[in-house]
Amino acid sequence: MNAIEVRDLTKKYPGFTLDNVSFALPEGCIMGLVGENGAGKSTLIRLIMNASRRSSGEVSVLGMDNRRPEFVKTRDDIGVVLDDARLPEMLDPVRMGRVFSELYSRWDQGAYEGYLHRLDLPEKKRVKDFSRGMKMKLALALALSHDAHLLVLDEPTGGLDPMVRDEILDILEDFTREEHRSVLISSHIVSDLEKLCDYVAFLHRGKLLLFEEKDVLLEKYGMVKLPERELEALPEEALHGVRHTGYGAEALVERSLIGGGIKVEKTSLEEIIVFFARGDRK
Amino acid sequence: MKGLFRKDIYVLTSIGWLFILMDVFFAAIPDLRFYAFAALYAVMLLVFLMQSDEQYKWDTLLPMLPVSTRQVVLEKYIFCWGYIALTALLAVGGQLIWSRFGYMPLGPEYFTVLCFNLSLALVAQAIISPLIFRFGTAKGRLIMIVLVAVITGISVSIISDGYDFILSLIEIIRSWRLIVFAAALSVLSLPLSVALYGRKLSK
Repeated sequence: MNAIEVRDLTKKYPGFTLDNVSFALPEGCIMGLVGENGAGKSTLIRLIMNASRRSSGEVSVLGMDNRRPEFVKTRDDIGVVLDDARLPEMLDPVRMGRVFSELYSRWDQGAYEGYLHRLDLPEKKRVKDFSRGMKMKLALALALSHDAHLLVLDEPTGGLDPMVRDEILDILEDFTREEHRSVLISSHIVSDLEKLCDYVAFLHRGKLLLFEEKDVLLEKYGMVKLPERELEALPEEALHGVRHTGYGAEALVERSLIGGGIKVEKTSLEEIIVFFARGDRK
Repeated sequence: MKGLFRKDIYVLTSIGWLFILMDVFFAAIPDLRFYAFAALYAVMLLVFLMQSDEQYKWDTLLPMLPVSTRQVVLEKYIFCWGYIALTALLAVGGQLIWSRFGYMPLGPEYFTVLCFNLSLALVAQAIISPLIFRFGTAKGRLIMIVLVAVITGISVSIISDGYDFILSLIEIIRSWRLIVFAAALSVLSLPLSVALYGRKLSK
């Protein structure tokens, strides 16, 4: 079963369109949703949770069409963390836990207290006095303490220092040790996603430019460094972007379409994304 | 929905204690002109709670939690109705105490005016709630201020002109009919609020 299935999803706003997005996240996998600010990541997440009305398309989450009234019950199986945490800030973690224990049917108080301890969160301090990192950790603790089958995380690591980011990524890795658990995480910090994800989706100006298994992407694409005049020798269909430097050119290429005589180096997910976003084919 | 009640109780007791204190003050004064304030103040509770939800963007997380739009709206309505009822109990309780000292004894006139003010509060709530659920508290509060000024003005001037006017009004619409009408209006505004809130969320 797919944890999330999105087909031809479109949402039109004045001045922005999330355009015909399709992908499927298999159960038990982690998908990273990458894109610059304003690319449509949060819009896509709202549509997946049916918190916004689509213009067209289909979305199914944990096997349930998200427009059906029963989807409210499916949300019991989904943990959500939004950027800024968005929690009532006059409450402390103990009170937040009590509120959430009455919202989710499988709330696990022991697990929640365990996360508060593990994440070093004060139990009796009001959320408004928390740092951004602490707020995000609290939101994550709340999302992880009701035996969710799917986590939907919108920019959970944005604006956090590397240590807190690493802590959050560790927890997410632990979460997916159980086979049926899946994660959709959006971020513009590609290095975070590279560590964690099985699948990568890249949204750019409302369009899904890439959706692929991370390992396949890293295998499929490579970097060629060569003098400008030799760029002509590369097959046009293999080129996915060129960066002109003072010493020559760097080109993102599809390995399978390049002849044997050219040295293709390994590349990173970040490079692939940057080249796709620039789209400055020769 | 229990979790939503708990959250609002926590919010009210954490930062809304001044709100409660002022309501107790208005309700307990042995002068029904002030009870008009208390009843309408209770309606403002909805604005206060929604504003707190908006301030911390809790309202944007809510549609992703396992609660329906109807539950979200119903919880706020029940909270508001309960609070209006509480102010009435406070007013009656306060009046009982004051009457022991010879101030404005409890009598049919008192209950008539109490019913009248309660009805005004319920009508105000029925009008304001759908607007706030649709437009949010920034615009909703402006409408609320105008409405409260109008209703309070009417209420105070009627009471200031003497009970005779109200009693003559009661001859036309008996107080229990008035309050049933107001309560029905308040209940009927619930599905409208649900629909309007759903539209706001699905933007």
